[in-house]
Amino acid sequence: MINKRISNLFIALVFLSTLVLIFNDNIDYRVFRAALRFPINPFIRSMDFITEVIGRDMSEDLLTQYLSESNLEKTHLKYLKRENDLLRSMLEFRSSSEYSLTPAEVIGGNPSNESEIIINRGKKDNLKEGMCVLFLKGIVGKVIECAQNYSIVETHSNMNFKVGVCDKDKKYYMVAYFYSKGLLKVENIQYDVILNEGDSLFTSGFGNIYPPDICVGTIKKTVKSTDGEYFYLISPAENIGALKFVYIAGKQSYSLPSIFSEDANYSEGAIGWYKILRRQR
Amino acid sequence: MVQNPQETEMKYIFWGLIILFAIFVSVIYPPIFSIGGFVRIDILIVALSLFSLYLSPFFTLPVFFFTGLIVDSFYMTPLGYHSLVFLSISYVIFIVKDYIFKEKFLFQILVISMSVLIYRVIDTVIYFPNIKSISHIFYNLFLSPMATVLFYSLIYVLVKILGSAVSKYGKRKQTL
Repeated sequence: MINKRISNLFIALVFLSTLVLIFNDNIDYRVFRAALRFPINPFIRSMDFITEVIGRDMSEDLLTQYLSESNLEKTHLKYLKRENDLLRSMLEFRSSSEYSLTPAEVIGGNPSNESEIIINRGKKDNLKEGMCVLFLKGIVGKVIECAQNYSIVETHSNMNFKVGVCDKDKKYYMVAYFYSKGLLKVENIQYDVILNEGDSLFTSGFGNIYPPDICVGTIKKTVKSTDGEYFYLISPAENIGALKFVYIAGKQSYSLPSIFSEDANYSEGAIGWYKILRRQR
Repeated sequence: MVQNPQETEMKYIFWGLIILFAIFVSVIYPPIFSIGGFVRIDILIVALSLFSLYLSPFFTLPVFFFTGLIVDSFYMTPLGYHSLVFLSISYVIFIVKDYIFKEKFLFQILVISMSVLIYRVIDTVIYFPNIKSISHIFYNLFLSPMATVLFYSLIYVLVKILGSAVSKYGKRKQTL
Protein backbone atom coordinates (compact mmCIF):
# COMPACT_ATOMS: atom_id res chain seq x y z
CA MET A 1 0.00 0.00 0.00
CA ILE A 2 1.12 3.52 -0.73
CA ASN A 3 1.99 5.59 2.28
CA LYS A 4 -0.02 8.80 2.68
CA ARG A 5 3.16 10.88 2.86
CA ILE A 6 4.28 9.47 -0.46
CA SER A 7 0.91 10.29 -1.97
CA ASN A 8 1.16 13.82 -0.64
CA LEU A 9 4.65 14.21 -2.08
CA PHE A 10 3.48 12.82 -5.38
CA ILE A 11 0.48 15.17 -5.49
CA ALA A 12 2.66 18.14 -4.57
CA LEU A 13 5.17 17.37 -7.30
CA VAL A 14 2.44 16.71 -9.87
CA PHE A 15 0.84 20.00 -8.90
CA LEU A 16 4.19 21.77 -9.31
CA SER A 17 4.79 20.13 -12.69
CA THR A 18 1.32 21.07 -13.88
CA LEU A 19 1.86 24.62 -12.71
CA VAL A 20 5.16 24.85 -14.59
CA LEU A 21 3.52 23.28 -17.63
CA ILE A 22 0.55 25.65 -17.59
CA PHE A 23 2.72 28.78 -17.44
CA ASN A 24 4.97 27.65 -20.30
CA ASP A 25 3.52 30.13 -22.74
CA ASN A 26 3.26 33.00 -20.27
CA ILE A 27 6.57 32.92 -18.44
CA ASP A 28 9.95 33.08 -20.15
CA TYR A 29 11.78 29.98 -18.93
CA ARG A 30 14.96 30.56 -20.93
CA VAL A 31 17.16 31.31 -17.92
CA PHE A 32 15.63 28.44 -16.01
CA ARG A 33 16.21 26.07 -18.91
CA ALA A 34 19.85 27.22 -19.16
CA ALA A 35 20.29 26.62 -15.43
CA LEU A 36 18.80 23.14 -15.79
CA ARG A 37 21.15 22.32 -18.64
CA PHE A 38 24.15 23.44 -16.61
CA PRO A 39 24.95 20.09 -14.84
CA ILE A 40 24.88 18.10 -18.10
CA ASN A 41 26.58 20.62 -20.39
CA PRO A 42 30.19 19.75 -19.35
CA PHE A 43 29.61 16.10 -20.30
CA ILE A 44 28.13 17.10 -23.64
CA ARG A 45 31.00 19.50 -24.34
CA SER A 46 33.61 16.84 -23.58
CA MET A 47 31.75 14.36 -25.77
CA ASP A 48 31.60 16.90 -28.59
CA PHE A 49 35.33 17.53 -28.19
CA ILE A 50 36.14 13.80 -28.37
CA THR A 51 33.88 13.34 -31.39
CA GLU A 52 35.44 16.35 -33.08
CA VAL A 53 39.01 15.16 -32.46
CA ILE A 54 38.25 11.66 -33.72
CA GLY A 55 36.15 12.89 -36.61
CA ARG A 56 38.46 15.68 -37.78
CA ASP A 57 41.00 13.45 -39.52
CA MET A 58 38.29 11.38 -41.13
CA SER A 59 36.36 14.38 -42.29
CA GLU A 60 39.50 16.05 -43.68
CA ASP A 61 40.30 12.96 -45.74
CA LEU A 62 36.73 12.67 -46.88
CA LEU A 63 36.56 16.35 -47.78
CA THR A 64 39.83 16.19 -49.73
CA GLN A 65 38.58 13.17 -51.62
CA TYR A 66 35.22 14.82 -52.21
CA LEU A 67 36.92 18.00 -53.42
CA SER A 68 39.15 16.20 -55.89
CA GLU A 69 36.20 14.16 -57.17
CA SER A 70 34.15 17.34 -57.55
CA ASN A 71 36.97 19.08 -59.41
CA LEU A 72 37.35 16.12 -61.72
CA GLU A 73 33.63 16.05 -62.35
CA LYS A 74 33.59 19.81 -62.93
CA THR A 75 36.39 19.55 -65.49
CA HIS A 76 34.62 16.70 -67.20
CA LEU A 77 31.37 18.67 -67.26
CA LYS A 78 33.16 21.72 -68.69
CA TYR A 79 34.67 19.54 -71.40
CA LEU A 80 31.27 18.02 -72.16
CA LYS A 81 29.66 21.45 -72.27
CA ARG A 82 32.29 22.74 -74.71
CA GLU A 83 31.88 19.65 -76.85
CA ASN A 84 28.11 19.97 -76.73
CA ASP A 85 28.27 23.62 -77.75
CA LEU A 86 30.64 22.76 -80.59
CA LEU A 87 28.44 19.94 -81.86
CA ARG A 88 25.35 22.15 -81.65
CA SER A 89 27.11 24.87 -83.61
CA MET A 90 28.25 22.30 -86.17
CA LEU A 91 24.70 21.03 -86.61
CA GLU A 92 23.36 24.54 -86.94
CA PHE A 93 26.11 25.49 -89.38
CA ARG A 94 25.52 22.42 -91.48
CA SER A 95 21.77 22.90 -91.67
CA SER A 96 22.05 26.59 -92.47
CA SER A 97 24.85 26.21 -95.02
CA GLU A 98 24.01 26.36 -98.71
CA TYR A 99 26.72 23.84 -99.56
CA SER A 100 26.64 20.09 -99.07
CA LEU A 101 29.02 19.59 -96.18
CA THR A 102 30.69 16.36 -95.12
CA PRO A 103 31.86 16.33 -91.49
CA ALA A 104 35.26 14.87 -90.73
CA GLU A 105 37.41 14.44 -87.66
CA VAL A 106 40.97 15.66 -87.50
CA ILE A 107 43.07 12.59 -86.75
CA GLY A 108 46.55 13.94 -87.26
CA GLY A 109 48.68 16.74 -88.53
CA ASN A 110 51.85 18.63 -88.35
CA PRO A 111 51.79 20.27 -84.94
CA SER A 112 54.96 22.31 -85.40
CA ASN A 113 53.89 24.49 -88.31
CA GLU A 114 50.29 23.34 -88.76
CA SER A 115 50.76 23.28 -92.52
CA GLU A 116 48.83 20.05 -92.97
CA ILE A 117 46.17 18.11 -91.18
CA ILE A 118 44.89 14.59 -91.71
CA ILE A 119 41.18 13.88 -91.63
CA ASN A 120 39.35 10.58 -91.27
CA ARG A 121 37.48 10.79 -94.59
CA GLY A 122 38.77 9.58 -97.92
CA LYS A 123 37.80 8.36 -101.32
CA LYS A 124 35.21 6.01 -99.91
CA ASP A 125 33.37 9.09 -98.64
CA ASN A 126 33.49 10.64 -102.13
CA LEU A 127 36.26 13.06 -101.26
CA LYS A 128 38.49 14.31 -104.05
CA GLU A 129 41.63 16.39 -104.30
CA GLY A 130 40.95 20.09 -104.46
CA MET A 131 37.89 20.08 -102.26
CA CYS A 132 37.50 22.99 -99.89
CA VAL A 133 37.85 22.37 -96.16
CA LEU A 134 36.20 24.80 -93.81
CA PHE A 135 34.78 25.04 -90.33
CA LEU A 136 32.49 27.23 -88.28
CA LYS A 137 34.52 30.43 -88.35
CA GLY A 138 35.94 30.21 -91.83
CA ILE A 139 38.27 28.63 -94.31
CA VAL A 140 40.73 25.90 -93.27
CA GLY A 141 42.34 24.84 -96.51
CA LYS A 142 41.87 22.31 -99.31
CA VAL A 143 42.28 18.57 -99.77
CA ILE A 144 45.57 17.86 -101.51
CA GLU A 145 45.80 14.11 -101.15
CA CYS A 146 43.02 11.63 -100.92
CA ALA A 147 43.50 8.03 -99.77
CA GLN A 148 40.80 5.41 -99.34
CA ASN A 149 40.13 6.14 -95.64
CA TYR A 150 41.86 9.41 -94.96
CA SER A 151 42.84 12.65 -96.63
CA ILE A 152 45.54 15.25 -96.22
CA VAL A 153 44.49 18.85 -96.07
CA GLU A 154 46.71 21.77 -96.97
CA THR A 155 45.88 24.46 -94.43
CA HIS A 156 46.19 28.22 -94.62
CA SER A 157 49.48 27.85 -92.75
CA ASN A 158 50.96 26.01 -95.72
CA MET A 159 53.36 28.00 -97.88
CA ASN A 160 51.47 26.94 -101.05
CA PHE A 161 48.19 28.32 -99.79
CA LYS A 162 46.53 30.95 -101.93
CA VAL A 163 42.94 32.16 -102.03
CA GLY A 164 41.00 34.86 -103.79
CA VAL A 165 39.46 37.26 -101.31
CA CYS A 166 37.12 40.19 -101.35
CA ASP A 167 35.65 42.58 -98.85
CA LYS A 168 32.17 42.33 -97.37
CA ASP A 169 30.55 44.53 -100.01
CA LYS A 170 32.41 42.77 -102.83
CA LYS A 171 33.92 46.02 -104.00
CA TYR A 172 37.57 45.02 -103.94
CA TYR A 173 38.96 41.70 -105.11
CA MET A 174 42.41 40.56 -104.04
CA VAL A 175 44.51 37.44 -103.53
CA ALA A 176 45.70 36.24 -100.13
CA TYR A 177 48.90 34.22 -99.81
CA PHE A 178 50.66 32.42 -97.02
CA TYR A 179 52.90 34.81 -95.09
CA SER A 180 53.90 32.95 -91.93
CA LYS A 181 52.29 30.51 -89.51
CA GLY A 182 48.89 31.93 -88.66
CA LEU A 183 49.21 34.91 -90.99
CA LEU A 184 48.18 35.59 -94.60
CA LYS A 185 49.31 38.39 -96.83
CA VAL A 186 47.21 40.36 -99.32
CA GLU A 187 49.34 42.02 -101.97
CA ASN A 188 48.71 44.18 -105.01
CA ILE A 189 46.23 46.43 -103.30
CA GLN A 190 44.70 48.90 -105.69
CA TYR A 191 45.07 52.53 -104.90
CA ASP A 192 41.34 53.00 -104.28
CA VAL A 193 40.99 50.17 -101.76
CA ILE A 194 39.93 51.54 -98.39
CA LEU A 195 39.97 48.81 -95.78
CA ASN A 196 40.76 49.20 -92.13
CA GLU A 197 42.28 46.97 -89.53
CA GLY A 198 39.66 44.61 -88.17
CA ASP A 199 37.72 44.38 -91.43
CA SER A 200 36.88 40.85 -92.49
CA LEU A 201 37.79 39.38 -95.84
CA PHE A 202 35.81 36.65 -97.55
CA THR A 203 36.50 34.17 -100.32
CA SER A 204 35.72 35.60 -103.72
CA GLY A 205 34.93 32.26 -105.30
CA PHE A 206 37.42 32.68 -108.11
CA GLY A 207 39.44 29.60 -108.89
CA ASN A 208 36.53 27.21 -108.34
CA ILE A 209 38.14 25.69 -105.25
CA TYR A 210 36.87 27.79 -102.40
CA PRO A 211 33.18 28.63 -102.45
CA PRO A 212 32.37 32.33 -102.22
CA ASP A 213 31.41 34.26 -99.08
CA ILE A 214 33.36 32.20 -96.56
CA CYS A 215 35.31 34.17 -94.04
CA VAL A 216 39.08 33.98 -94.52
CA GLY A 217 40.16 36.26 -91.71
CA THR A 218 40.42 39.80 -90.47
CA ILE A 219 42.95 42.45 -91.39
CA LYS A 220 45.51 42.62 -88.62
CA LYS A 221 47.61 45.46 -89.92
CA THR A 222 48.71 47.29 -93.03
CA VAL A 223 52.42 46.97 -93.77
CA LYS A 224 54.62 48.95 -96.12
CA SER A 225 57.14 46.78 -97.91
CA THR A 226 60.68 47.80 -98.81
CA ASP A 227 59.68 48.64 -102.40
CA GLY A 228 57.07 51.10 -101.15
CA GLU A 229 54.05 48.87 -101.80
CA TYR A 230 51.43 48.34 -99.13
CA PHE A 231 50.06 44.95 -98.16
CA TYR A 232 47.64 43.67 -95.57
CA LEU A 233 48.43 41.05 -93.00
CA ILE A 234 45.41 38.89 -92.30
CA SER A 235 44.83 36.84 -89.20
CA PRO A 236 42.94 33.72 -90.37
CA ALA A 237 39.57 33.05 -88.78
CA GLU A 238 40.26 29.42 -87.98
CA ASN A 239 43.02 28.34 -85.60
CA ILE A 240 44.40 25.12 -87.08
CA GLY A 241 45.88 23.88 -83.80
CA ALA A 242 42.51 23.92 -82.06
CA LEU A 243 40.59 22.07 -84.75
CA LYS A 244 38.94 18.78 -83.86
CA PHE A 245 36.42 18.59 -86.65
CA VAL A 246 36.18 20.11 -90.12
CA TYR A 247 33.69 20.20 -92.95
CA ILE A 248 34.45 19.37 -96.52
CA ALA A 249 32.37 21.35 -98.97
CA GLY A 250 31.05 19.25 -101.82
CA LYS A 251 32.75 19.87 -105.13
CA GLN A 252 30.48 21.87 -107.39
CA SER A 253 30.79 24.67 -109.86
CA TYR A 254 30.07 27.61 -107.68
CA SER A 255 28.32 30.48 -109.41
CA LEU A 256 31.14 32.85 -109.93
CA PRO A 257 30.42 36.42 -108.99
CA SER A 258 30.65 38.89 -111.73
CA ILE A 259 32.46 42.05 -110.98
CA PHE A 260 30.02 43.80 -113.29
CA SER A 261 26.71 42.20 -112.39
CA GLU A 262 26.22 44.10 -109.17
CA ASP A 263 27.87 47.26 -110.33
CA ALA A 264 25.31 49.58 -111.72
CA ASN A 265 27.85 52.22 -112.56
CA TYR A 266 28.73 51.09 -116.01
CA SER A 267 27.86 52.04 -119.48
CA GLU A 268 27.66 49.89 -122.49
CA GLY A 269 29.70 50.62 -125.49
CA ALA A 270 30.50 48.88 -128.68
CA ILE A 271 33.38 48.60 -131.05
CA GLY A 272 31.80 47.25 -134.13
CA TRP A 273 29.99 44.05 -133.18
CA TYR A 274 31.93 43.71 -129.89
CA LYS A 275 30.12 44.99 -126.84
CA ILE A 276 32.14 46.45 -124.06
CA LEU A 277 31.23 47.55 -120.55
CA ARG A 278 32.83 50.70 -119.26
CA ARG A 279 33.04 51.55 -115.62
CA GLN A 280 31.92 55.03 -114.76
CA ARG A 281 33.84 57.10 -112.33
CA MET B 1 19.27 -4.81 8.46
CA VAL B 2 20.52 -1.42 9.61
CA GLN B 3 22.74 0.32 7.12
CA ASN B 4 25.69 2.47 7.90
CA PRO B 5 24.77 6.19 7.15
CA GLN B 6 28.00 6.66 5.22
CA GLU B 7 27.20 3.58 3.15
CA THR B 8 23.69 4.91 2.48
CA GLU B 9 25.15 8.23 1.42
CA MET B 10 27.57 6.49 -0.95
CA LYS B 11 24.70 4.49 -2.39
CA TYR B 12 22.71 7.62 -3.16
CA ILE B 13 25.75 9.30 -4.73
CA PHE B 14 26.17 6.20 -6.91
CA TRP B 15 22.50 6.36 -7.96
CA GLY B 16 22.86 10.08 -8.57
CA LEU B 17 25.78 9.45 -10.91
CA ILE B 18 23.75 6.81 -12.70
CA ILE B 19 20.87 9.23 -13.22
CA LEU B 20 23.28 11.89 -14.52
CA PHE B 21 24.73 9.36 -16.95
CA ALA B 22 21.23 8.31 -18.02
CA ILE B 23 20.23 11.95 -18.66
CA PHE B 24 23.45 12.58 -20.59
CA VAL B 25 22.96 9.47 -22.74
CA SER B 26 19.32 10.40 -23.38
CA VAL B 27 19.84 14.01 -24.38
CA ILE B 28 23.03 13.79 -26.42
CA TYR B 29 22.71 13.98 -30.18
CA PRO B 30 23.46 11.83 -32.13
CA PRO B 31 22.16 9.34 -29.57
CA ILE B 32 24.71 6.88 -28.21
CA PHE B 33 22.29 4.04 -27.58
CA SER B 34 20.03 3.82 -30.60
CA ILE B 35 19.41 1.65 -33.63
CA GLY B 36 20.03 3.63 -36.78
CA GLY B 37 19.40 6.90 -34.95
CA PHE B 38 15.61 6.30 -35.03
CA VAL B 39 14.91 3.56 -32.54
CA ARG B 40 16.04 5.10 -29.28
CA ILE B 41 16.71 3.06 -26.20
CA ASP B 42 15.06 4.68 -23.18
CA ILE B 43 17.80 4.33 -20.63
CA LEU B 44 16.19 7.02 -18.52
CA ILE B 45 13.01 4.96 -18.23
CA VAL B 46 15.04 1.89 -17.30
CA ALA B 47 16.76 3.94 -14.60
CA LEU B 48 13.42 5.33 -13.47
CA SER B 49 11.92 1.82 -13.20
CA LEU B 50 14.87 0.50 -11.24
CA PHE B 51 14.93 3.57 -8.97
CA SER B 52 11.23 3.19 -8.29
CA LEU B 53 11.59 -0.52 -7.63
CA TYR B 54 14.56 -0.38 -5.30
CA LEU B 55 14.82 3.10 -3.82
CA SER B 56 12.74 5.19 -1.50
CA PRO B 57 9.97 7.26 -3.09
CA PHE B 58 11.16 10.27 -1.11
CA PHE B 59 14.36 10.15 -3.10
CA THR B 60 12.97 8.92 -6.43
CA LEU B 61 10.04 11.30 -6.86
CA PRO B 62 11.98 14.59 -6.40
CA VAL B 63 14.91 13.27 -8.43
CA PHE B 64 12.68 12.39 -11.36
CA PHE B 65 10.79 15.65 -11.03
CA PHE B 66 14.07 17.50 -11.66
CA THR B 67 15.22 14.94 -14.23
CA GLY B 68 12.04 15.64 -16.18
CA LEU B 69 12.73 19.37 -16.07
CA ILE B 70 16.31 18.83 -17.28
CA VAL B 71 15.14 16.57 -20.12
CA ASP B 72 12.53 19.19 -21.10
CA SER B 73 15.18 21.88 -21.16
CA PHE B 74 17.25 19.80 -23.59
CA TYR B 75 14.42 18.49 -25.77
CA MET B 76 12.79 21.97 -25.81
CA THR B 77 9.48 20.34 -24.95
CA PRO B 78 7.12 22.30 -22.63
CA LEU B 79 8.75 22.52 -19.24
CA GLY B 80 7.07 20.09 -16.84
CA TYR B 81 5.87 17.61 -19.45
CA HIS B 82 8.52 14.97 -18.77
CA SER B 83 8.29 15.60 -15.03
CA LEU B 84 4.60 14.74 -15.10
CA VAL B 85 5.17 11.62 -17.18
CA PHE B 86 8.05 10.43 -15.00
CA LEU B 87 6.13 11.08 -11.79
CA SER B 88 3.13 9.16 -13.12
CA ILE B 89 5.23 6.17 -14.15
CA SER B 90 7.08 6.22 -10.88
CA TYR B 91 3.85 6.34 -8.91
CA VAL B 92 2.40 3.40 -10.87
CA ILE B 93 5.53 1.37 -10.09
CA PHE B 94 5.24 2.28 -6.41
CA ILE B 95 1.71 0.91 -6.45
CA VAL B 96 2.55 -2.36 -8.20
CA LYS B 97 5.89 -3.09 -6.54
CA ASP B 98 4.27 -4.48 -3.40
CA TYR B 99 2.53 -7.15 -5.46
CA ILE B 100 5.51 -8.45 -7.42
CA PHE B 101 8.81 -10.15 -6.74
CA LYS B 102 11.07 -7.29 -7.71
CA GLU B 103 14.21 -9.44 -7.55
CA LYS B 104 12.94 -11.68 -10.36
CA PHE B 105 14.23 -10.80 -13.78
CA LEU B 106 10.85 -11.47 -15.41
CA PHE B 107 9.07 -8.98 -13.17
CA GLN B 108 11.76 -6.39 -13.74
CA ILE B 109 11.30 -6.84 -17.48
CA LEU B 110 7.54 -6.50 -17.09
CA VAL B 111 7.86 -3.30 -15.07
CA ILE B 112 10.33 -1.80 -17.56
CA SER B 113 8.13 -2.78 -20.52
CA MET B 114 5.13 -1.20 -18.86
CA SER B 115 7.05 2.01 -18.08
CA VAL B 116 8.43 2.32 -21.61
CA LEU B 117 5.02 1.66 -23.11
CA ILE B 118 3.33 4.28 -20.92
CA TYR B 119 6.02 6.81 -21.83
CA ARG B 120 5.93 6.00 -25.54
CA VAL B 121 2.12 5.95 -25.77
CA ILE B 122 1.90 9.39 -24.14
CA ASP B 123 4.68 10.66 -26.41
CA THR B 124 2.99 9.26 -29.53
CA VAL B 125 -0.45 10.62 -28.61
CA ILE B 126 0.87 14.11 -27.83
CA TYR B 127 3.30 14.48 -30.72
CA PHE B 128 1.42 12.59 -33.45
CA PRO B 129 -0.38 15.73 -34.77
CA ASN B 130 3.04 17.32 -35.40
CA ILE B 131 4.74 14.30 -36.91
CA LYS B 132 1.88 12.43 -38.64
CA SER B 133 4.03 9.47 -39.56
CA ILE B 134 3.08 5.81 -39.32
CA SER B 135 6.73 4.85 -39.10
CA HIS B 136 7.06 7.13 -36.06
CA ILE B 137 4.22 5.18 -34.35
CA PHE B 138 5.90 1.91 -35.27
CA TYR B 139 9.23 3.06 -33.88
CA ASN B 140 7.63 4.47 -30.73
CA LEU B 141 5.19 1.72 -29.83
CA PHE B 142 7.02 -1.41 -30.96
CA LEU B 143 10.67 -1.05 -31.78
CA SER B 144 11.72 1.32 -29.03
CA PRO B 145 10.14 -0.69 -26.13
CA MET B 146 11.54 -3.92 -27.60
CA ALA B 147 15.00 -2.42 -27.98
CA THR B 148 14.89 -1.04 -24.44
CA VAL B 149 13.86 -4.40 -22.96
CA LEU B 150 16.56 -6.22 -24.94
CA PHE B 151 19.11 -3.64 -23.82
CA TYR B 152 18.14 -4.13 -20.18
CA SER B 153 18.36 -7.92 -20.60
CA LEU B 154 21.84 -7.57 -22.01
CA ILE B 155 22.94 -5.31 -19.15
CA TYR B 156 21.36 -7.71 -16.65
CA VAL B 157 23.24 -10.70 -18.09
CA LEU B 158 26.50 -8.75 -18.19
CA VAL B 159 26.10 -7.66 -14.57
CA LYS B 160 25.33 -11.24 -13.55
CA ILE B 161 28.40 -12.56 -15.33
CA LEU B 162 30.58 -9.85 -13.87
CA GLY B 163 29.11 -10.45 -10.39
CA SER B 164 29.76 -14.17 -10.52
CA ALA B 165 33.30 -13.58 -11.82
CA VAL B 166 34.02 -11.13 -9.02
CA SER B 167 32.60 -13.49 -6.38
CA LYS B 168 34.63 -16.40 -7.75
CA TYR B 169 37.77 -14.25 -7.71
CA GLY B 170 36.98 -13.22 -4.12
CA LYS B 171 36.48 -16.82 -3.01
CA ARG B 172 39.72 -17.94 -4.64
CA LYS B 173 41.56 -15.09 -2.93
CA GLN B 174 40.08 -16.14 0.42
CA THR B 175 41.16 -19.79 -0.04
CA LEU B 176 44.69 -18.71 -0.95
